[in-house]
Amino acid sequence: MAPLYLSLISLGVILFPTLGVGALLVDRFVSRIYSEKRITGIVSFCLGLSCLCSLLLTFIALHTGQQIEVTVIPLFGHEGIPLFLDSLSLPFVVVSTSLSWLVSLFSKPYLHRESGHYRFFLLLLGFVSAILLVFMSKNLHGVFIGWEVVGLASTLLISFFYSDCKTVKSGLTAFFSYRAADVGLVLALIIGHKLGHTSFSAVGEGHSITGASVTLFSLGILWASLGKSSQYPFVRWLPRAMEGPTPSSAIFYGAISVHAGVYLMLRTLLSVEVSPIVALLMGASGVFTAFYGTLLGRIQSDVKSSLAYASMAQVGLMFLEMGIGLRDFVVLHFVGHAVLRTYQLLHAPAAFQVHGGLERLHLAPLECPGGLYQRLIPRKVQLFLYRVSFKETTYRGCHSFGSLALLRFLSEKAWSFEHGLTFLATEGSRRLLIASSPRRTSASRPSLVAPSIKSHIGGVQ
Amino acid sequence: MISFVIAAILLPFLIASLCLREQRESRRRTLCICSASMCGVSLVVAGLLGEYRTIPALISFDPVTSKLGILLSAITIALTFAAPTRAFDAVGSERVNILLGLVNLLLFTDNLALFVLGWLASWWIISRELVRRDQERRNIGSASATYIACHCIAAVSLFGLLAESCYSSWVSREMAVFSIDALSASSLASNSFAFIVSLIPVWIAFGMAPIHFWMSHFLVPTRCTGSLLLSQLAGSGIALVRVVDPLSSSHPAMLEAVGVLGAMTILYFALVMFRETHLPRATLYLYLSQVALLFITFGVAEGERGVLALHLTNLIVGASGMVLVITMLHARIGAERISSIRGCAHLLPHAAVCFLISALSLVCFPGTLGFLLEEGIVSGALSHHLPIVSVVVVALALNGYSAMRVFGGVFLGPKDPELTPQLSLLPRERLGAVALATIVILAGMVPGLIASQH
Repeated sequence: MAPLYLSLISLGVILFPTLGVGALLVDRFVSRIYSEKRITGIVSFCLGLSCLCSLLLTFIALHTGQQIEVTVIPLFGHEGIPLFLDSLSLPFVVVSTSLSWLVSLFSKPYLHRESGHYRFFLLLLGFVSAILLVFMSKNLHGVFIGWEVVGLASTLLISFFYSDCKTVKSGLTAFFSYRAADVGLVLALIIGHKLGHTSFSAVGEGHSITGASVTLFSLGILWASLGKSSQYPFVRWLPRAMEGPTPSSAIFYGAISVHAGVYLMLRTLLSVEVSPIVALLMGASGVFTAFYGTLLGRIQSDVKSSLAYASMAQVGLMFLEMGIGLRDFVVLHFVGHAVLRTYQLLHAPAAFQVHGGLERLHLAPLECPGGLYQRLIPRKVQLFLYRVSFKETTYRGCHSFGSLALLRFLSEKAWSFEHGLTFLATEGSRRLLIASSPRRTSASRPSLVAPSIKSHIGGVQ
Repeated sequence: MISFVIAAILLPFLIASLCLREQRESRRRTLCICSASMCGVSLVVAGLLGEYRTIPALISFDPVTSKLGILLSAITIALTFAAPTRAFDAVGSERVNILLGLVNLLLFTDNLALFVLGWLASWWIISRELVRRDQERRNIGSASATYIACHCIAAVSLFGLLAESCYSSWVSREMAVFSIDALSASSLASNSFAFIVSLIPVWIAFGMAPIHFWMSHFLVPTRCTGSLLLSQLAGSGIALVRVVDPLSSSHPAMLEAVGVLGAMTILYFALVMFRETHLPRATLYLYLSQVALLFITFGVAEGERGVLALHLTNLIVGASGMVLVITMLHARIGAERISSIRGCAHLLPHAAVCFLISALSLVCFPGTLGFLLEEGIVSGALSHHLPIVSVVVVALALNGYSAMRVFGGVFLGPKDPELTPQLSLLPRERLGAVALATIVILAGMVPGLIASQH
């Protein structure tokens, strides 16, 4: 167990954003006048303190080299949720807190006088608390709680501009993917309980377990990770998720949320012996998604969508790296990617303005960077790839062939059956009651059912 | 102390009689809330006193039922207080509420015959209300006929249980079979016929498949829909905990069958809800899925009998929140199809929050009261039945998406031009919605209040 001051600092990392949520809720009920300055002040203050705590912890961990095992959150159950920080979770925590703090500062002028100002900051703080729970939890229960709350916050932020039907549909698409992926996590949790293995061990101290159940367990975790990181077969929701405000897109789909799947895989890989099937599936999904993201990213007409596909491709590469066993490299890849993508996404709304400014400065059109793709790949292959990318119908066909089509078919049949049966039962009981009800002629004796049914039958006839 | 408790239980009857004579709506509502509050106070006192018996062998309060009773009183107050008045005929709804509240007191008796009498009386009141509502809506017999037909089967089963009790009492020369508290130790506990005839009415009253047809008409929004559902739910829940559960211990094969049926039901309703476009029916299927989960827990969860109270609490609070919002929407818009309602969050943000939180609780989302149930499932309560668990997990995932779809369809999207600022929530409606949402969140965050005792 870590010393008390370390426990307090670690608890502060997750506690400050959670207290921020409470403070915002109290503020809503207590204050009569809405003040943007007060709201953003609370959020920046809480996230800033959380960031400071995480940086302090990193400093201490680098000097002492010890793993920090923290207290328990007694809120969610009898035993609470044990938290811990090791060399894997620390980079994720530091990147999350620092980028969230920066994004909160960026959002202050960006969302000025926006109608959902309060909602945005409330969801941002909720999201940060939940993702920190995912990264710091020592067992799968804590991860699961944070995982679900992250999904809900993501959905609500995608539908932030909810007057537009398109954003609502995009939010629902994302939520559907999350729910489908969560099935894997819950099943993994159940199998983990049967195996007696829901607690993560520290890096390097992994007591590896093997067996057929472990393969199922890993498959469940892989399924959940693919869903959260928008890897194949869950590739459709990430570009649509860019409907939300830019700061939330940056923090969710550039920096943190999209890497939660990577973290979960890394964390699980350290404690179980991954079967070759799982490693193969992980690598294959990563490779396919990387190709898919690269190809479709090249034909997008707006900056945020192309960045979404680029994110997807990079995360695909991370899955490939994990599949071939380059686990330490993935952490480095994550840090670089998260920081760069956040910068790009925050910069996206002003990208054309800056580009135009540079052109005016140089008095000439700027040269397009890169060109490696054009030089390396023959012209015919390039054209073929472009055609494939444009053929979204192919993709739609692939996806609707899967479980969604089966689900729709089953629900359609169940719905028709249910309604038919209800109609028959209603009519049957109605007629049964008419047949069994006594005929009353006297107006002085009010009847329970018969008059109403008689009048109805009369009306029908 | 005894006189205080007796007075606290009898006082609501006095207030109720005043309430039934009062014509002014505001005063009637106040009296109604006072009456329900007094019921709540009496039950709190009884709960504090533990297994205290006010009149020996007649009225008893054990920790589970007294908690349910307290909750029932609290929700009745919230629903009565927050019931929307616009577009609904208010006359009579408080009378129905108070009568149901008083009749439900009989469910706390220790005598099986009185218990059955209370149940039948509750059904009679609900039937009358449904007939009245059918006449108002010119939709003759759709709700009342199916309700009465289905509950006739249940009533026959109840009489079968009473007959079996009388026979057992005559054969064994013991009166203990009429004492609900002593059921598990009586000769009825090993009688499979008694178990079946006690299960059938509960099964029907909860609206479990395949006898759930009456439910689709039952949830038509009116001013006292919430109270009707609540009364129905409380009656069945208390019967499950107090009567069926003690009789079930020696019938493991039947319990297994109940669990399998529950699993099939939860998947079926999840699939139906995935496609449903009618708001009250979508709510209904969400509710029924949760009821199916309750029966799965009852059937196959080993050593998890105490969780039943948690299930019932979640059902009562979640369903009440959703029904309250549906009645609020119906009072303002009049439409029931999801496609004809949109953008309500612009004008009714409190209703949107209440609906979302209640729905999330019914799909066992973390941070809500319902999550404790999912936590129980994944922690091993059903771990020996992996196929059933898989079905439950898939169904809950589907329900979660469907609930969000309904929420998105009703509350998000462009603003409905029919919704004018004059139609925003009244302060008391807002208070009711916020109170219910707060109960769900607080109970989810501090589950020890409920879970620690079971």
